[in-house]
Amino acid sequence: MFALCDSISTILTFMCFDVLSLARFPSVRVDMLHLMARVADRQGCDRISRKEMAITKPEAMKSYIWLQTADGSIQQVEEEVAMFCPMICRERVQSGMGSSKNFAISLPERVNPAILSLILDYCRFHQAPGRSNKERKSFDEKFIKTDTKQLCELASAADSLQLRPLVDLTSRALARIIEGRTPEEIREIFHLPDDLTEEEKLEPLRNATNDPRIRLLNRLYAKKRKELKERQRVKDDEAEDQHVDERSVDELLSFINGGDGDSKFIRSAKNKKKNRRRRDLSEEPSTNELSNKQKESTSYSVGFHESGAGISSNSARNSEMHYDSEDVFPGKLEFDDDYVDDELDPAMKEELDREVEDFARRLNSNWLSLSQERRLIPNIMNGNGLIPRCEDTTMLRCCEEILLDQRFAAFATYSFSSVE
Amino acid sequence: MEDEAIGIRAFEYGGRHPLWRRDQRCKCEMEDRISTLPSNIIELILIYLPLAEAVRTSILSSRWRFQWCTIPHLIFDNQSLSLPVKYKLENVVDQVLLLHSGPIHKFTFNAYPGIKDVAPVYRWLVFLSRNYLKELVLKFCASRLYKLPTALYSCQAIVSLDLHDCEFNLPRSFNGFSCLTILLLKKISISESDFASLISKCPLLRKLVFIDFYWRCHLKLNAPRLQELIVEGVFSNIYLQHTPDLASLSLRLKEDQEFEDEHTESEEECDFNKCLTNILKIEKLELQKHFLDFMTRGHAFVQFPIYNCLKKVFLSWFSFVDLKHVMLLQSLLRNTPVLNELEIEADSDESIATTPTSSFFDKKESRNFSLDQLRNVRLAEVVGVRAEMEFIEFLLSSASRLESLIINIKLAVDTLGEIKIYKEIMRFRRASTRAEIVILD
Repeated sequence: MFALCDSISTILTFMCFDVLSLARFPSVRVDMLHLMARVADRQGCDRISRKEMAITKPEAMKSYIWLQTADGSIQQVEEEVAMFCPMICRERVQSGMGSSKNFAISLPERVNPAILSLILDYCRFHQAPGRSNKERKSFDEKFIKTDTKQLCELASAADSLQLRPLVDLTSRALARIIEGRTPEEIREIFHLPDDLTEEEKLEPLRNATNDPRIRLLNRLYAKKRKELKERQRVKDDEAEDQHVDERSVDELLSFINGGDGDSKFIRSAKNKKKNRRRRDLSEEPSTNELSNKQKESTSYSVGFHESGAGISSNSARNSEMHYDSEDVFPGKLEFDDDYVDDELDPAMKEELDREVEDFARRLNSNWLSLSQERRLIPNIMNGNGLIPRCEDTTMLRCCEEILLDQRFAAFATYSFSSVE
Repeated sequence: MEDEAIGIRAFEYGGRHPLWRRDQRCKCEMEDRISTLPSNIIELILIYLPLAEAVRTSILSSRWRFQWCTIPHLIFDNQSLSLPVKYKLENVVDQVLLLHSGPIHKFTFNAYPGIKDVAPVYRWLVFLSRNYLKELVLKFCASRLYKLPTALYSCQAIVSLDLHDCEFNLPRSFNGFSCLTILLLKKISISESDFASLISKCPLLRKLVFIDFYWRCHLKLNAPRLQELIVEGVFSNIYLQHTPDLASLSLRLKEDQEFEDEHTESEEECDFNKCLTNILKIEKLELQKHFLDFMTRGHAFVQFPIYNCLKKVFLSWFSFVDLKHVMLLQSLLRNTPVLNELEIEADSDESIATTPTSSFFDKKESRNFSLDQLRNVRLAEVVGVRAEMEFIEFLLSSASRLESLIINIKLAVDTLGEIKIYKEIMRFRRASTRAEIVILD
């Protein structure tokens, strides 16, 4: 039957037959109408033809569409009601399904018969043209007065049918349920498992100023980060070393060639790294993780310069790091331990505060450049395809990167000043 | 907690107690429904929540911990964040931006009054410019204008800008916002050339609202796709250089200026009255406050071209006893065949009448006016002078499909004057049988 339709439609198109005039014949059957829709599509006036056909169809002949839900049951629905759903509409027009019981349109699995009938009620009300806005609004209000389980089902079913107004309506209703309630109430309503540890709950966006509890939590968080980092380090040991070696060679070379100030020294080193990486890019970097780290560090350097901190603060930090290099330097493994140290005399306290802020800022610039690359447009920088999936590991890598930088910077200043 | 309770009971009753078994059954039925929704629906739900609530969902369960981090709309204002005094809004925004990931399409920062330090806004703008920002709302308070950083001009994906209390300084390399469609500026300081440059370099601009600007400018608008324009403030002149699609125009001039009789050549060219022919597709026209005086300064009378789409007109501070205003209205009524709604706020002070304007709406003339489509008319601040009464008489006799005429009588009119007005209106002939006259005080 469809093959025949196909050939007929090609002939009609070829003959430039005016399909719309056919539609006015009262004895036209539903499947012929569908055929005409396809021809009209090819003639390039699909929307108009459908509307015209809807208008000119005789009153007595209401057409039905057959829909099949995931559990196999088939039901018959008035055409204009079902066509309110974009997905059904598209199926009908493009593939021609739904004209008879055997060729029912199969709905996505999130739509079960009970929900389908609710959705069809919604469509039936809203597709009727003569309703005022007030009527529609009051219908909507009544429609969403169900339990949350059904709201969720409605939302996901409407989403799979691409019925955007209903998706918005149900989402708004769910938001209204959540709004203004305590977490326990929300968990109660939606039966969410309460599976976060107490410290994770307390962690969040509180103002990190003078509150000693906040500092305690930050330390705890740092401890946790350290643990995760340890695990990471065990996995990435080789790439780590390689990376460190490469950079130190690069640095020594440029050092030997003579950099002037420590800041310029660092900047030229980073630029060299950038240039080298660009050359590397065409030659396909050796390991994915290696190039990832380079990407991070270059984007870090770029981000750092962009973030208005400037070279001056960089050198300032270097000098203070030089000052502390004895303390901070011996083992970055111990870096966090310093942080965890309980005896905080005022100077150290201030130091730590500044470190926290710096860390946050660098994390921010690194983090956001990473997320930008991860998201969309293929950057020039984004040479390889492997991007770390887990948020935690990327964050850890950022931490590592920054710490490596610090250590390296300290080393550089140290060695430079020692030469002088 | 639940587990423990059930466990204990199981232990106590040897694992066979019906209570325990029932609890087990209940537990199976109580599934988590909401976390299994598709992510775009969860995102929608979080968007519809105020930001503070959305972030609070992070402690609901492990699945919800970082759901909020990807919501593309970040709205920081008094409604979405009710903070106790010790928390500063800037710090909260910093933290949220830090933890956020993904594109941010809409960012609103409504600075509560008294915000002391606006420096953080710079780094937010830098961050946002890298995150495909589409809609930006920045509202400061009037005590100190915020100087917009150049980072703003690198937000190339911006579609809608809403700025209050800011200062524009366009860089020389400014290439415009190629996607900008809506621009709302309130209490902005911007120079004439910058404004012209800004408007002309945004080719898709569709709606422009410019209220209360700080310099008395001569505004030039070259916006081919502009459809809606609202300008309120103190300007020396406004020239619609190229706005063919303009559908809705609202102009409100707030200050009475001393108009010189001698205009320079260039000013004549760029005068508003000359560009009336540039807005032929207009559908809604509002000329408010001193703008009518501005239009009718000088010696020539204002002539409107034929506006085939103009449906709604609102004129305020219209003096029925001022000859020039009346001529303007006549010209307008003559050239708007599809006028549907007319609203006039009168300001007829007989003491400052320039020329006697009796019988300008006499019946012979009324044949030239085609007010067939006029449905609703509203006249406010009516005092009952001769000219106003004649206008009402004219309206009633020529608008054949008039449906409602609402008259607000000015408060200062005493009861006797009011009664006089009622008596006169009752006497007027009506061309439309359906006309309903409502007189409100």
